[in-house]
Amino acid sequence: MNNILFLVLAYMLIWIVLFGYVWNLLKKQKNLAREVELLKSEVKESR
Amino acid sequence: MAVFYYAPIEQTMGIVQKIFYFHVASAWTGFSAFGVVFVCSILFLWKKKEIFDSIAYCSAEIGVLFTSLVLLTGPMWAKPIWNTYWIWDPRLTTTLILWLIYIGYLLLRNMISSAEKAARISAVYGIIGFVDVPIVYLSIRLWRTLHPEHVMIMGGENSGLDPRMFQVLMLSLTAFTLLFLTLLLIRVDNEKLTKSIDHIKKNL
Repeated sequence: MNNILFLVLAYMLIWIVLFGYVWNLLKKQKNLAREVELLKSEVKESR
Repeated sequence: MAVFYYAPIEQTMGIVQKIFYFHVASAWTGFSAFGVVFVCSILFLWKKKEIFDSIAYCSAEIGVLFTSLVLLTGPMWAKPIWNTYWIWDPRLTTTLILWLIYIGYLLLRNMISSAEKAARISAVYGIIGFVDVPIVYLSIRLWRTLHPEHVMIMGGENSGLDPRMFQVLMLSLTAFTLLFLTLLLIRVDNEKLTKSIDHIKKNL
């Protein structure tokens, strides 16, 4: 394989892993926000 | 951009050497993250404040992420230079052990059902596990290795590193450190929110 292909592959791996982690973090954040809303509505109903 | 347009191409290794700027920065960030785990684990055992446990846990996760990047980019650099993706070299082996230690840390936390017990045990684990970080750093001095020596001593004339390469490396280290801090802040925020939700659910 050409040297430049290893360079491209390495940089691709870095961006994929970092974007994957940030994506996962944002998804988690969204789920937590949804859970907070659910809890709020549950508290409202119980009153 | 600076990596490709400002830093010169290394004469012996060629363009593939540009992996260095992300590889070293990832290693620096991973080590720093495990350093945060070490400090926060001590603080947790000493002060008994939950926030230190949360920071340690989140930092370990991010540390594993960056160490994974080191282990992924290393072989991409090694193949064209050493003609092999992996060798059981002291630096590579101790880095793999470091990665496994913190994978173990994350697994351990999730395996223990009692949150308090998990925090205490993982704090002890986080302190002991950090022992491997100086071993990884010193491995190229302690044993015979194929891995490049520490070529840079503050980018001086005898450092073996072109001044432009040194500047780009510093830029890369700064960018990765800022990325680490941002990810840590978001992740700790997530963790705090998760704990609050769990607490509310228990009391409902």
